[in-house]
Amino acid sequence: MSRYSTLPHGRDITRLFVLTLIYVIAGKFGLKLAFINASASAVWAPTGIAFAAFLLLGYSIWPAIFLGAFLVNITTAGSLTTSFGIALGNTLEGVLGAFLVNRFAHGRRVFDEPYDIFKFTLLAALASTTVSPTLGVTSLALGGFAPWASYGPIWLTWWLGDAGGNLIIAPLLVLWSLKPARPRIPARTWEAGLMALSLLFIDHIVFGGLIFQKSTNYPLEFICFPVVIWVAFRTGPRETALGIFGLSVMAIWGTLHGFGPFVRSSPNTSLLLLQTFMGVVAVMGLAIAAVVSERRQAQEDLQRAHDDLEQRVQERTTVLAETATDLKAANQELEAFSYSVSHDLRTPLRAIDGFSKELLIHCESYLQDSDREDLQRIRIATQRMAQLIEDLLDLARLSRSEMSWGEVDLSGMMHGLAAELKTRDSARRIEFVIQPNLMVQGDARLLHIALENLLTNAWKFSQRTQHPTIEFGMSGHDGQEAFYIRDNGVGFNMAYAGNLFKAFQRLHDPKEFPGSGIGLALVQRIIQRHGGRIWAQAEENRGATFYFTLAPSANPRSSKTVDAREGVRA
Amino acid sequence: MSTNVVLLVEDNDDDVELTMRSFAKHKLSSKVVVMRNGQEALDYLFRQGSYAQRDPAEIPSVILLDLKLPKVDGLEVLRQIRSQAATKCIPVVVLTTSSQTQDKLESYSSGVNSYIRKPVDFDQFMEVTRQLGIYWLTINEPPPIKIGD
Repeated sequence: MSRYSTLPHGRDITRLFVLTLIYVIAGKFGLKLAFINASASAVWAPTGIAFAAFLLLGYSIWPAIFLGAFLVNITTAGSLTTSFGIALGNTLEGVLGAFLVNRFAHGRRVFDEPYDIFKFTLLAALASTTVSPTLGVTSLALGGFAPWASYGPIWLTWWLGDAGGNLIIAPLLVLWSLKPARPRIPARTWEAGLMALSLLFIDHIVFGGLIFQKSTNYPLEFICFPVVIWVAFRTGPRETALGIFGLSVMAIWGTLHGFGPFVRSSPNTSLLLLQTFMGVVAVMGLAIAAVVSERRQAQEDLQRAHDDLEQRVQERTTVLAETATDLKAANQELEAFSYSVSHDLRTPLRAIDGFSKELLIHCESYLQDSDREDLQRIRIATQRMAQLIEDLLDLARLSRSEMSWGEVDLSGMMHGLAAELKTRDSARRIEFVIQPNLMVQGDARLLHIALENLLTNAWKFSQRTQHPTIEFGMSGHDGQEAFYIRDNGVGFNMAYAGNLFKAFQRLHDPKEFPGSGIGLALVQRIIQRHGGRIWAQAEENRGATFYFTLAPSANPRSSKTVDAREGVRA
Repeated sequence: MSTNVVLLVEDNDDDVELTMRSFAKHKLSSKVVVMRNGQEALDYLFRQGSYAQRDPAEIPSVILLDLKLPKVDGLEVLRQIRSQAATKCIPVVVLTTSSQTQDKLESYSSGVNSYIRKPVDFDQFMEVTRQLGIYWLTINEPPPIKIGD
């Protein structure tokens, strides 16, 4: 804020001085091209300088502009008063232009967006530039340095000169003073050189009399467009502004020397026509450059997003691969572990059991009954331990083994298992109710283990029931089709159901119902591997029902498919 | 011809002892040669190393081979037995604690004659060794082996 409120000092004064100097030089040059009136030029770069200075450095540099304009005019023509009026007009014009652009067109970033460029053209180049000719020409007329009759033509020249100066000079200064808004395309020296050469060449044809020695009515100026468009497309807004400036300088020189399509009877008319043309070229070129660089930016953003995505995919893939490797290692470790368990942990058990037995035989005569009982306990414990190891290995094997999917006839499997049980324990009378045709997709070997465990459980826990019945079928359960195995045996208290599927957890006294407690853990693991779930419903002395589902793909076909198959068969 | 010699390749002292007792109890073999690791077993069979001087006529009627052995493991011992002309006809019985599918598969692919899992229960173990001895030493006809030098 200090820039706006305090008086300039030190470096600021130097800056103001330099700015004044530049302004004076540009102004002096401009007035050299003043033909209609000593103070009104069709080529007035200072407007662009003032506008750019207000935009870039702030309003506080007004003294430099004012002083510059005053000096230019007082040393050219007119009086103190007229010079003061003109200087005031030149300063206000810049302040107004900068204010409007700051307010409505993103200030110093005005040349980054095509829409802002059009706003700049309207607000700064065309509207605010009416201030200077109005104040200036009025001052001159009042001071007697211009006839009132010429007010109109002088005003027009002044205005167009200011507008042209703003359109060509301001973008050049602003764009080259700031960091480019968007990454530039990597410079290709040969193409840049070719562009410069083309500009020079075209300029020589159009404004240098290279082919047409005399002024001609051919609209040669249109040849400039392709080159400017080329520059705008292939470089950035900065280079485009520079190219237009170069073209403009050369065009002014050529036109003043009587070459080119804008040469008319009076140099003022020629320059006005040229400036109008160059203004149009500038607006068009800058707008195209902005659009193209915007598009390039979008393209780069897209590319970057794409690269990012690619990289992220790569990273995820790496992580996944690592996880897979870890998993593989863990699996191998588990393999080694279970091999070791299978082999090493059982060997000592045999020694314990074997030598206990040997003791029992060899020390028969010395042993008390209680000693014999102790040795028997050792042997029984050893067997239990062996069984536990066996069960653990079964569970581990189950989790590791590959699934081999196929169509499985659960009903048929159940009939087979029931028949087996009946043969094994022919003394028992059990009624089996098995729903026919329950077909699923699954691993037959694993499902066999699961059904066998469930059925053996039902068989085991219904051995004290008067009229034992075991049912197998399918029913809706919580809106889901689930298979069930139901018995009318001892059941269990639902309060303990949470432990039901945990390995080695038992809900009954092993003396009453023997077993290690691994069965349901195995069943659950198998059901899980089929993408399903298992749960139980029971009541003490009222039997138990085990429900399980399988993955959607493993469930029975929809009736529609079955119909279709039957249709084919029929 | 049957030499009635049994080669037991087993590193576990307890298992060796229990097997020996079982054999003794059932009066099965006149001689049980025990090798404690795979390398020793190979040295004995091929009459090399510290067994270079042993009687070439002593050819085991059956080799009882554990799989998990120090130095050279059982499967490798089995492969070498099967790869040499002098030993490739000798019946080999894997007698191990492991019941891994992979072990069974590899043993049979390598030409084992029988795969027996040692029961933890000593009564069962005794029964298994008894049957084993009866089968391989009395029922089974051993391969005709030329006693070479």
